[in-house]
Amino acid sequence: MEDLLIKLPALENTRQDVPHPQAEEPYYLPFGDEVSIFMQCHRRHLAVMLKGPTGCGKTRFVEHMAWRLKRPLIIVSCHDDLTAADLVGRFLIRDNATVWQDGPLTRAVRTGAICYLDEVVEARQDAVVVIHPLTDYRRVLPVDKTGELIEATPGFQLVISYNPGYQHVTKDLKPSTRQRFVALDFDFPPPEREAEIVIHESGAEPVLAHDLVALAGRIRGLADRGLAEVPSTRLLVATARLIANGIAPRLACHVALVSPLSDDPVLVAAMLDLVDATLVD
Amino acid sequence: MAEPEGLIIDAARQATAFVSRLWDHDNNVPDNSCTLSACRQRLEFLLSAVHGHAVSLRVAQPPAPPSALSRLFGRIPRHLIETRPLPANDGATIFLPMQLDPGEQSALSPHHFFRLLALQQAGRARRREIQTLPIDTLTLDLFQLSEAVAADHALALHFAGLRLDLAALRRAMLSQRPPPSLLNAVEQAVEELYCGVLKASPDDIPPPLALARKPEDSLDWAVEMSMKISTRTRMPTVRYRGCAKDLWWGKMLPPSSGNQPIRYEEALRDMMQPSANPRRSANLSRRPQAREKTPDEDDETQGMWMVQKDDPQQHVEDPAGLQRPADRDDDADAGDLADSLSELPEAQLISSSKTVRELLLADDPLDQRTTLVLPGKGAAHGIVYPEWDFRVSRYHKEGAIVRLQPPLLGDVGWAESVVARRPALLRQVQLRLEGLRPRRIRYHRQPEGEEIDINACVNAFAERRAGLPPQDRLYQSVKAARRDIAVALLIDISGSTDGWVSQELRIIDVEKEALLLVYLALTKLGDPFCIYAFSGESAQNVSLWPLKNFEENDRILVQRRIAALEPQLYTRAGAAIRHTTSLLTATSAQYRLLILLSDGKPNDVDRYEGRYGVEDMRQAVAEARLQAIHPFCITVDRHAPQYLARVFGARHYAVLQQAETLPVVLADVLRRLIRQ
Repeated sequence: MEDLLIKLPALENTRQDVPHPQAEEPYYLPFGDEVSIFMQCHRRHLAVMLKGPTGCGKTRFVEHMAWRLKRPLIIVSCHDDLTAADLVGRFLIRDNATVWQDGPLTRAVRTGAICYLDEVVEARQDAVVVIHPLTDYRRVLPVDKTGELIEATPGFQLVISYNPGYQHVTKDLKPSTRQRFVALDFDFPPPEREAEIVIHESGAEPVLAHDLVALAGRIRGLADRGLAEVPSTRLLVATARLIANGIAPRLACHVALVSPLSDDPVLVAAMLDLVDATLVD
Repeated sequence: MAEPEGLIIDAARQATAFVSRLWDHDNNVPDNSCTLSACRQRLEFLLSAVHGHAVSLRVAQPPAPPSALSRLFGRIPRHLIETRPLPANDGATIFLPMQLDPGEQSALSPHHFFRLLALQQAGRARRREIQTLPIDTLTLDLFQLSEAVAADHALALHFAGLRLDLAALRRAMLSQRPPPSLLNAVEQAVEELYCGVLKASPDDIPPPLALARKPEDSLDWAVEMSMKISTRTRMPTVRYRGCAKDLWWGKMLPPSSGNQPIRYEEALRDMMQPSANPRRSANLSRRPQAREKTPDEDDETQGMWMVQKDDPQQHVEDPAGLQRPADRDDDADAGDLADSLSELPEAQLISSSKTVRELLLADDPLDQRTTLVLPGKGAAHGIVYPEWDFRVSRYHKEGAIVRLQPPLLGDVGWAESVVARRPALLRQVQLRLEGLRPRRIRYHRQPEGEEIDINACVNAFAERRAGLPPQDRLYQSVKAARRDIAVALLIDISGSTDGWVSQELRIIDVEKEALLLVYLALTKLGDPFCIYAFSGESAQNVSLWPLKNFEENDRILVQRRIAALEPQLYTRAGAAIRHTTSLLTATSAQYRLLILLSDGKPNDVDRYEGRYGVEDMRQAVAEARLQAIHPFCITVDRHAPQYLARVFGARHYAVLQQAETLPVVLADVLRRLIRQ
């Protein structure tokens, strides 16, 4: 269990309870029909796969949808040592007795929560196969350790995400897994929307937000010239927050936008040139 | 006692050496950081980020010195004579001067200066859509001015951080304008417009100029303005001689023509025979512009004056046109030829079947190259490999012939000297590969083993208490991991590896050092590996030099073979990859790696260049992959991501930003691939 990163703080107190989303609406600016498609999928019991680069708003979208659908949300960040037992549950010894402890997936199935498996390709194959019976017409979770066959509560929905072209070369989703999902493609928003998001999330001035977005757009142009990772919306929000709190714009861009992206001195120098040209302190 | 003649010659030599030392001393550029080459790559990245596609940056050639005749009789006033290279663009490529004048460096730091000039020229190049430019000099100058102002305005609008730099550049240029007394009435009118621009703020457009949204607007404005100026100044009596161009104004070169290679389909026997005389080479101080042949240049019929009494003075292009470059004798000094070629403003490109006698190298080589299809020679003593033709989507059965060449033996001391010179580098490479030695791995949950697996026992205990069937995998054991791996290193030693990466190192030298260091480190690992170098000319002659077979173990021999590597001819990569693949498949290893060290796109004298070469290489890599071989490419070509991603797939290649890091990167790549 210690391997699981449960992102919602309420879990600490209510071990078996599943957290409900906060009362306040998580900010999410739709770019297309993804909200209505997700609503339909939820209604029709279809599992959803979110594809997109890091920091473009996948997790925020799931949080927003959970809030909108009034469903509890369980987030599991997958890593390469995540086993089926980590998802389903295991026996623990407590007070000289053996106690069955549900895993996050089992808990979601029982309570009808939305279960979000982040970066699912990182998980071990046996863990990925566990979700198969949940994603077709059966909607059941067999727990072989206890001999249970748990039928999913109507509100249960499985959402997975992954980052194409980012993960390990040898790791990819099996076709038999992929075909169980409705796929929603995410990408960085168009400049106007991205600026709106940066303004909302950081409280920065609109002029600055537009400059930052223009700068990010230009740096993204370097992707095919050797830049492995392009600046995400999340990175822009972080930079804008620094600037809004009094750090000089060029310095903030250096530490929060350019430096995290690359170690190559020439690329970093070229990006700093862009920063110099685009922003005025 | 010395002969008087000898004394005079000796004195003259001493005097020349003294004067040239003095001259060198004056012209010394003390700091390399002030030249374009120091920041060229950085600027190319910047331009491609700003414009969304790769923009190539080249060195602007200095203007041709005016000939004595044109100085005497030409009516070019002194202030209009170009003395230095100016920033320019031809619609696709940006040309910048190699260095700045000391006066200009005070206004802006050299890097800021180059950055601004590059962005300005790139902005202007982007606006160039009109193919036909006005012929009239006055209208052309006005058009260029209006376009430049519009490009500056866009730059100031989108890049607020550049406004100060732009203003500084304008101020610096304003201080260099010629005095009005040198100008006539028309020129004064243009000068007034130009100075108005230089005095204005970059985001303003000073009247009578107007913001030109499209180049057509500029053209309309220029035509209208030139009419106005002509009527105002009674133009036919006063001739417009031009406006002194500076760094801000730059130059608008004619648009680059498509780089269509000239094709010679005939079989050319001379190429196959090695030339008796060694090639001579010299450096060009500047390269003349390539020009098209003019229609009346060559007479169809021979005229009357064909008698040549004496050999004319050796010159690259003699006025009578009697001596073509190929006709010259074999012992003319290449340096003299380079000097006289540098003085020509432009020269025509000629393709010849003869072997070239002298190579004159410029900083900025031509795009065009001649392609020749060589006659077939049969596959005697060679291994035939098919070649993929993307145009018809099938293989040419007898595509290329690989010939294994006996490796030459180099200096015995070279390897020792490299190891002695670069102990830190060798240590780094060794450190990186050391972690790969088969080491002991702990296996959990084993049915039998030396130790008890506590975690498994606790789990089994809990499950037994819960009434589940008992687990029997309760032990852990430690075993040495067996790795079953074979590595093939394939080195490109084509002619382009002759390029210099630093003051004393060529690409081939870096490749050799990297090979040696990695070879020394790999021998310690104990996995089977082989090293092959390849090059060649034409499909019939793809040469492969086995530097080390899988079985070979003679360290001194391999080191001497590496030491003997020298740049050869062309890069027919497909055939070389296919041969190495066949060697790898013959090994029994479970995991096979093919690592290609390259310095550029595949190319050869025939059709094997451009897309053809890339597609064949891609096919060869795909074939290797089908045979369970893992190919990887390391290259020093900065433009590689544009084609290597297609050839090797994303994350299966690495581009070196600095060639000197090759040994460490090669070790890193090996480590990464072997770990997987």
